[in-house]
Amino acid sequence: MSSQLLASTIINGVLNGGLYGLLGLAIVLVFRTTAVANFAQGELGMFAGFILLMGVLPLDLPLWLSWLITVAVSGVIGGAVYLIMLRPRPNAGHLNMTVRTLGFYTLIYAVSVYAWGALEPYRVPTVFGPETVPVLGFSISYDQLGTVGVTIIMAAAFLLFFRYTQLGLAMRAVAINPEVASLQGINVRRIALSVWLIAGAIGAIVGLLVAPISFLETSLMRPYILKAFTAAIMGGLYSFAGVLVGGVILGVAESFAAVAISIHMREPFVFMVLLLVLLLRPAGILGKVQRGRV
Amino acid sequence: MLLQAEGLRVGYGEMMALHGISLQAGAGEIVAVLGANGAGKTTLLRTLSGLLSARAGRISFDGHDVSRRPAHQLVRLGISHVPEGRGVLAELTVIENLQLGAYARGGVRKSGGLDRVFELFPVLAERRDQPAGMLSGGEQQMLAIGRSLLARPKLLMIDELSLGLAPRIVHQLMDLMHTIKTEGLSVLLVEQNVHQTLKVADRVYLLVNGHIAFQGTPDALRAEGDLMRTYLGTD
Amino acid sequence: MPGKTSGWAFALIAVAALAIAPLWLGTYPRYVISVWLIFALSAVGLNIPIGLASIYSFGHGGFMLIGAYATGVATISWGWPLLPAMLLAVVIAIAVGALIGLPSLRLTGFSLAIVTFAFGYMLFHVVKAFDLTGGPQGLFMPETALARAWGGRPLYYMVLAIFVVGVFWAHSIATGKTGRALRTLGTNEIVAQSLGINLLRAKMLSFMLSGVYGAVAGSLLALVTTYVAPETYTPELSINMFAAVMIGGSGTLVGPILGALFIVLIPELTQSAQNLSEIIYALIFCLVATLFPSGLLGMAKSAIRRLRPQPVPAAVRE
Repeated sequence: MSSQLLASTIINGVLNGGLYGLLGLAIVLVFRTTAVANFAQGELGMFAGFILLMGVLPLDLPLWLSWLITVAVSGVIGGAVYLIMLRPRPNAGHLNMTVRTLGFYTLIYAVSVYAWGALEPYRVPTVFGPETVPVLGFSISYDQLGTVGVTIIMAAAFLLFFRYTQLGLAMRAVAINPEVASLQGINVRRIALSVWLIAGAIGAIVGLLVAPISFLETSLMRPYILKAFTAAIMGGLYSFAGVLVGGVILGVAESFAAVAISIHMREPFVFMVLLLVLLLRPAGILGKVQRGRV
Repeated sequence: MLLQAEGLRVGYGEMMALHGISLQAGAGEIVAVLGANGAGKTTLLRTLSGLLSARAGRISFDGHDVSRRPAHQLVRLGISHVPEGRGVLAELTVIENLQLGAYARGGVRKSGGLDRVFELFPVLAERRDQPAGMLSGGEQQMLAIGRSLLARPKLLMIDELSLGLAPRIVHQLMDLMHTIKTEGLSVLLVEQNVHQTLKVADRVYLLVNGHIAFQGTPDALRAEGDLMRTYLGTD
Repeated sequence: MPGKTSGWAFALIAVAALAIAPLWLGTYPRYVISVWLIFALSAVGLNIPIGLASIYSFGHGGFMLIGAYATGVATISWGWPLLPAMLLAVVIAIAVGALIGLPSLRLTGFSLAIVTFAFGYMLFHVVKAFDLTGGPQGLFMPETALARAWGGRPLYYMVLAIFVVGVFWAHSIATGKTGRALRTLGTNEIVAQSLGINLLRAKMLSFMLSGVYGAVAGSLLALVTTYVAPETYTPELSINMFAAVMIGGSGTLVGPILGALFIVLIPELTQSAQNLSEIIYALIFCLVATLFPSGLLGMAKSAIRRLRPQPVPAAVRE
């Protein structure tokens, strides 16, 4: 493997891995606070791509502002999903709640295919510009740099948010034990709502990072959701840092598998990584003890 | 009366756990609820703090009808509940647990009172940045109580203060209840440790199979030899 | 619902109706009913881990894929007759079911759900990658004698017969020792263990059994549709199968059959609404999942209960 190939393999892996980690973060957050495995997490990102392209860009605003608006709208959609689909009949059990997210996944996909066609690629403008920069003898596009940059900033922002803000602390408390949290005066349902808002926003951020690199189409996020789940499991479904690290490890590993073995082995390889992690480190790569509720 | 519950009926599915319980606690009073395992003590506390809702009956607190209020609102009104098993969040640090206690009062800084908690329980100050799961049982109980005090409650409810703790620590915590009381707080204790509890309580309820079998002063209960023997296993 | 006399009578009438119907029905309705019966068979099998043992299985489409591709490869590439090919599919499914069941002791809920989901996802990508399995195009099944003779009715009756046998077998599993063991461990693993139930064996068994159903269903689907394409066996198929069980009503015999009817029929019925059919399906899916957590069957039961005077429960009557 030439050093150039090696470098580009690593960069690609880190880039995708960071995105898996971010999506995984949203999955863990939702899972821990509302006990729901959100299968629609990826589709929220795909939908955000179309919101940007079809709804916001025609307004002719600066690109960064369009971005922000899209992220906000997607957050509102996340919150609406919680209010409309998860609030009714709250005692129905986790399995039923998960089926509801599957229902939403099916719905959002069906609506997108109806409006924008299946497998029809759209070009999404990038915020970072089309140029490339030479780094150590090979070129990296602004898109790739920007994606990694945004991922790092988002990851840092969330880690700081959970660690140092009242709301972040309350979310962690609800994630660990909703009942004890409510005894501290925390409105658990309001926390759940804000978690779904954040999940919608994270979905949009990931979707908007992916869309300019590959073409935007209705199955844009399909390859991402399983890997985000895998990253979530690598974080032990608990540790936010673990999810991000897990995502990056997964991204780099599959990137190498694609280059070293075969491009076709890239997806099956993820399954092997998942099994390996679960068998060797069931509490996650950074986890020490097996926690309940997994 | 600070807390007044009338005719509480609570059940899980088909099974009723409380059959019309009435209970009162005045300001600056220590009230104890005694009873065997499964008598409904924990259910009673959970109903009072809003974790469970009663099928019938009424609860008023500090002049408000709180029968249908959820737990998180009751905290703001001044009820703080140390749940069964203490409810310490083991993954969070000591100081984070304490910050949660002050959540309803806008955070530790606004609430104040952190110094007071550290003064009462110096060990918490020493271990403030350790995960709460690393504390001993007694220290966890101190953390749970300290956390509750940071919510600036008018009524502190504790489920099994003494469970699993060394006699010396139980003694120390019971003394603390007394101190808290002299500062005007009301305390509602649910206990199985009869002797220690009777020493600090002003009034006692005896719960048997979801009914109140006795209410009165500790001395009056001590005089009821039969009740003491049958339901509390003491002589 | 068999178990009560009325249930058996109902089942008998339903089977009789399904047996006479094709004498009059045209090719297309027969095709739709066949597909429904196949999905129903698959869902009845998936109900074993989900409904009895409360194990989330999101990879049932993977078993159907195994059934379809094993049948396809064995008959087309190796020239096997149909029956041995189907047997091969079942054997592979049992082995794979055992493999998936293996980690189930250490994993619970969420993690196991993702493992099963990943399993289906992986198979979908694997069959796309190899020439033996026809790559992205898939395999065209040769027309069998079953489909040629008498306008294809023999194939229909074969599907119906296997469906009936499958449902009866599932009923005897659910009411028998295995079903009791699975339900006990689904409610409380510690209790199950103290009753001497081997958790690993029981969990593996639930995956193996559901694998058999999935593989047979996949195999039949290949015969009926005459086409084995990766696009049929996407992770969405697993999700739809899961939804069928939950929407119909998990833990019951009739529920998954109803649920399969839902996922097969709604898209067919709404096809006249052109592209809106997918949206209508998704909307109904969301509505049922949100408003009727116990599924269509539970919804029907509570509706009947409301119409009839409330019978006094046996325990109270005495």
